[in-house]
Amino acid sequence: MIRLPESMERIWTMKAKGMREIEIAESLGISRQAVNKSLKEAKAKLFEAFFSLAETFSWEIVRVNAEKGFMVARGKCGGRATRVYAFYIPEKGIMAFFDNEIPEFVLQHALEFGIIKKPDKRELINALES
Amino acid sequence: MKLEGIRPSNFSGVPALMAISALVMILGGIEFSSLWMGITGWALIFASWGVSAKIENKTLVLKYAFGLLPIKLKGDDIDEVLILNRVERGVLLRHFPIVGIAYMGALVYALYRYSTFPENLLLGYYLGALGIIVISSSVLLSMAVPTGKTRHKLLATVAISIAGAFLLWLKTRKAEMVPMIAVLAMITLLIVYDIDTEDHIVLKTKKGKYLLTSNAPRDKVERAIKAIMEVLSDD
Repeated sequence: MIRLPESMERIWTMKAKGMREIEIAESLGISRQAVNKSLKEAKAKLFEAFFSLAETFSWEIVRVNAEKGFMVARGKCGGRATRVYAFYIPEKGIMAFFDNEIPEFVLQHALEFGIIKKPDKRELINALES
Repeated sequence: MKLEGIRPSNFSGVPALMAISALVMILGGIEFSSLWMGITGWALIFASWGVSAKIENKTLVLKYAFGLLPIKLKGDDIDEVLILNRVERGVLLRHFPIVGIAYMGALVYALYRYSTFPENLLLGYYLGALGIIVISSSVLLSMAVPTGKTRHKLLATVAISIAGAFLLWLKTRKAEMVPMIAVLAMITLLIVYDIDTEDHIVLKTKKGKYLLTSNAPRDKVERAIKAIMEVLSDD
């Protein structure tokens, strides 16, 4: 399971939920530079994790967003072309789902991270596929 | 390392400003019959085109203005990589609305100019304005519809060209312009086909979005995407 270090994950999650770097720094009692450095490292780690995942399963990358932590890819499952939607879920790591088999907790996660405005599967797929 | 077959587009940042200024100069040149404005406009439009993209020290360097203007994107600055022609509803205008505004401006100007032309001008005046109308409306429509719907876009371009021919007939009542309209339609079809079938790589950064395009074979595009991914990844 690919996971960000705990403190880095906390900072990245706060940013992904829409907080500004200065607000994160103030709420955690650290410098803004430390927040910025942590965010840069988190993004690089997430990009690498998503790319490695796609390479391992020979998925073709469509989209990778390290700011909100998701990837869209094209893959094959049982000889059939499928869409793969992968998300970095805090405390869980990267989880991937095929076609429209996206569970409720992922919709809640997407809602919290501002990827969608209401917990609707169609809206999430539209947001990821446009 | 040079990214073979990849060309930066002038859809954002300084190159977009150059392209919009070029458009204003070209239209100004037509409006005021000014040769220097026209030449400056064409020089600016060529300068706004990206010539190459390469990777240097974990930085993506996009070169414009005949290689004289480099735009550097550090790996740290990039938040997202999107291969627009691979998403199911990838619309260029959604990512680069400024381009739509520029084309819309050109379209409105050409429509206004065409409608106010008197009926005894040289045919070239009508054809020039009509060229802007047909090309800008076809490209605008093509950019507003998701990539991959090439057949629909080409059909729409044919319909726009026919409407253009009708507009010309209304103004001139002469059949001798038909071959010119056919040539205009062919050029427009090629432009629309080219836009819709090339690969579009969108890079989202804190400063805005950048577009890389390619008509290169698939393996070259894959190599370029992989090279960009290496820039973004942790060491």
